[in-house]
Amino acid sequence: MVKLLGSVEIESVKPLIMELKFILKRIRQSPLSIIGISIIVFYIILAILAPVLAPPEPGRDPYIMPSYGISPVPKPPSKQAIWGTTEGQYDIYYGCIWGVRTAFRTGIIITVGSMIIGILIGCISGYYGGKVDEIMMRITDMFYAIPTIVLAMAIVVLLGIGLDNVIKAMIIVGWPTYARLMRAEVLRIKNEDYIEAARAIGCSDFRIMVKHILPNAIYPVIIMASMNIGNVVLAASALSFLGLGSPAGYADWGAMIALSRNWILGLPGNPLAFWHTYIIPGLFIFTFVLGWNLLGDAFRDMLDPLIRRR
Amino acid sequence: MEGNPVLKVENLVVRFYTYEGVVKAIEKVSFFLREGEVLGIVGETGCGKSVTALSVMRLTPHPGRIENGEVYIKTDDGLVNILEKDEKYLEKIRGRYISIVFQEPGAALNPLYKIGDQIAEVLLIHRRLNYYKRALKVIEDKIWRENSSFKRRILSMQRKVCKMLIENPNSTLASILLKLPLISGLKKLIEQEVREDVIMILRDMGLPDPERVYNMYPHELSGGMKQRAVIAMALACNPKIMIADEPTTNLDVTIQAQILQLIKDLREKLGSSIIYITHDLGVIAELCDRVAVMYAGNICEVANVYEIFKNPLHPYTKALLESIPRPGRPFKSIPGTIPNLINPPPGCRFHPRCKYAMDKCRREVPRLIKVGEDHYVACHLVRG
Amino acid sequence: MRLREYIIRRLILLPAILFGISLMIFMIMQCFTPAQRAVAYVQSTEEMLNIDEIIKRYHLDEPLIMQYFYWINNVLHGNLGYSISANMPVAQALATYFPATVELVFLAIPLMLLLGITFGILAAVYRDSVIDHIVRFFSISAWSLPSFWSAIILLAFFYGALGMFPPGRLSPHIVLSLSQSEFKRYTGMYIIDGILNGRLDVSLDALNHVILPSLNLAILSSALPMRIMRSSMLEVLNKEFIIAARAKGLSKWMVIWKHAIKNALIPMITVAGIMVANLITGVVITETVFNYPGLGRFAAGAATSLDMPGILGFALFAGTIYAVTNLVVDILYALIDPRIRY
Repeated sequence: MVKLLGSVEIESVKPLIMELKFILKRIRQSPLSIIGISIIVFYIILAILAPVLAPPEPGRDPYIMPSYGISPVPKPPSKQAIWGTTEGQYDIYYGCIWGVRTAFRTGIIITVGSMIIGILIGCISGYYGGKVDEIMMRITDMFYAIPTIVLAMAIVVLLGIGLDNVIKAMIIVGWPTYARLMRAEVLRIKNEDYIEAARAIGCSDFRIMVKHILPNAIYPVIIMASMNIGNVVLAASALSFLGLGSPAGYADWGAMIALSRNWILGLPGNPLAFWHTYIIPGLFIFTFVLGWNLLGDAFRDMLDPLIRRR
Repeated sequence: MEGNPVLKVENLVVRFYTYEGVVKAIEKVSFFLREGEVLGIVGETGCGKSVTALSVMRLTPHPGRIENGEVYIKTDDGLVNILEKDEKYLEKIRGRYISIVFQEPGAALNPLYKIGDQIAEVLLIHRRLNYYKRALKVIEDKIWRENSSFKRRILSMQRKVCKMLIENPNSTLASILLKLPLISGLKKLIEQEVREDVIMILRDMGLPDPERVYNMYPHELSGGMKQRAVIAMALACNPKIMIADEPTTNLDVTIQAQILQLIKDLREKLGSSIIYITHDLGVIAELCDRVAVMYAGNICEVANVYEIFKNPLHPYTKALLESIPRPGRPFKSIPGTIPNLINPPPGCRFHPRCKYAMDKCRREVPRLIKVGEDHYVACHLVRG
Repeated sequence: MRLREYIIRRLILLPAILFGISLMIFMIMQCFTPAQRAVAYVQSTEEMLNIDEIIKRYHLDEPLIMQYFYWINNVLHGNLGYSISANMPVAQALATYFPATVELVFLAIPLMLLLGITFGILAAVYRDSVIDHIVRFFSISAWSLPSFWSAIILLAFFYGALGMFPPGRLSPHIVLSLSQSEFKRYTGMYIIDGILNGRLDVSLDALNHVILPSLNLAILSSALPMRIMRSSMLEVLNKEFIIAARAKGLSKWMVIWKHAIKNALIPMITVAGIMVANLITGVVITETVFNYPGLGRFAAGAATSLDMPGILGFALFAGTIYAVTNLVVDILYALIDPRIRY
């Protein structure tokens, strides 16, 4: 029995390794995905080296940007603040560097959270079908009926303002997409012969789900996640910008740009006087999301069977 | 001894520039098609039959490019090398002097338009002047019969526009006027004239209830009906040359027989010359006058159909004929697979699978040599 | 006709979807205590002191199902509570700010589609050329750009540096002249009302203010249609009926125009729903940055003021628009593709 199971298992692992090798080869061939990976690697390094590049003041929460005064007027780059300060004299350089960590934290927690919930619900819903499936699908439909950011805003109002609540709200709003996808994959795989075979040997439902269905179904979910991280970070920064996320002074790119809103028009005679308050954090958001999008795009191009062989 | 050729292909070279490398799909292919004859092109999948067909009309799909060679088509100006002409000239030739029928029934039909409209399109492209003149006659007849002077006014306006179109079929002024409410009656008249012809063509193709079929969409028709419609589209302007690229491969056997019969009848009635591409030797035997055998982008042998079956000279042709399954005999296949055309074997492309391969075959590409009346072979084993 | 049946069938589904939306909103509301929910209907300080009376009046402490019926009854009669951020009943706020957003969106959508579809087609037809690379670069950049960032940059550059296209909806002097003269509000949209009232200066002024936010919305939202159009055109251009059309003697551009585009637009219709959702999101952010008095700015203000009835009212409204759009899109789909009706 173990041997039979063993052979079924080998069947579903070897193609996986072949696929991975093919993916790596294609990654090397595509300049855009190399750029994407480089950007992400660059940001990972920044995130890891944050305490070195922008040493936090001892005894303080490192995510709060140091403030060099109380004047609301942003100051241009100087020796003290190499990229200048925002309204309230927060150090832009410090904020941007630690903002990388915030961005990663936000993006990864939200994506992984939605993925886990989505995979669980999608798996159960697709595998068992029937009433359970119907109810789950109606619930996902309900979530789909309202555009995500609007719903997220409402949930943040419910839970209260703050970055953690923004993360929770986006997880709540994000799982239906993964659930739908997972369910579709499960439905497709459920009818394959090897599932029938596993059941015939007496595998429990749980074992089938975990050992046979999951490894095969998870592929498109991972692709979708990689394509979605960019959007998630963008949405979270938008919510922060609106004032629903991190408080002022927190190292969050969206919140930093919110601080620049009063200074967009600069000074009379010098309209771009405060460009550093919005251009620099914005560049960080843009390049960060761009990196993830390039990566996700490259993944999709590589794994989409219709386009692959061109 | 070419007789009266309507199509002559000489040393055609077609290459595909793909991500994985340059595919040398067609290497120096030469053949000709005589007036009124059916030339069969036979070969395995991937040997370049379809690419040849499309390239003859200069429709090689991306990322392919015609690198070299000459393609002569007989037009009203005699034999013309279409590879030297500009795109506008080609647009006049396609559909009018040469047309093509594809393998997948209905793949040639746009799913969003009615069948009849798609056939009408060919007629309108090449015979617009004709239909304008017919519409003019209808208008003049109507004017003569019309009592109400108001209606006569409108009709004479339409007649003026119609005359404008006859004088200059591309007149932009006229095409704008056609869209105006009162004048648009002329448009309907023209469409009605075309519609009559289309229904006649559909009937000739053996489609029952052609008036109803005109208004149907491709997905509403069966495979056989779709293929008839596609053939109708190809023959609407009565082109001298019709290329049929495996038109019956994807159809049921019974429908296959019907379509073959249709093609035979049309050849009798319209006197068209046909290039029939297939991998089915049975169809070749039944339909074709001459046969060209293709392998990996090269022509191996060209001969009269009886000669090919009775006296095949090229090893590939012989192997093909031997591989036809016969009851009572063990199944025989050709060992090996078709070569990778990015790095094709040097010399004769068939030599890795040929049981008679010599040293010369690995080095030199064999040329097509004449070995008999109307019989050409490209093989080092055979001398002219 | 089959088409009619299809439309009727889809129309019947609409109430079910609206029910789902309302259920969602209702459940969020139920996360609050009856007292907190009662605050939604409070319009003055005396009413604040009489919370129990309000709880009784709106049946806020009865069994869930009863509550739902009373609540939906109120909603259908236009009572969505009172918005503290807008200082008026929610329904009134929605009605007041609706025309401005419509003006913004109606200008942005054609721009977005024109930009997206045209360049998508060009990128596909001239595949692997300079324009293809530019289009691919643009669409992935626009997709990664935070809409509030691009809005700020546009504002800083055009208004800050060049003094053109001010934020807001109307210039102060126009507002003054409107309050002093006879100006009938036919639609609430100043561009149209200006023409209808014979006051072209009003129309032009409104246009001047709405251009920048529309551009922001349009350019960013055009990334998706551009990508979809490009990939669907690439797919269509490989189909056999395209070669067949050329084999008939049609020129390359005639084939693209008559045969390819119509087929390529079909997958676009599938993502129309997503495009609308993106627009709604974009509207919230863009209106906030440009201080444009539309539904988006109202929603953002409601959220930051923790104005629950306000944000929920907006969510209900957004969901309804979304559902109706999806319905229209499905019908359009059936109209264009004869295969769908069966």
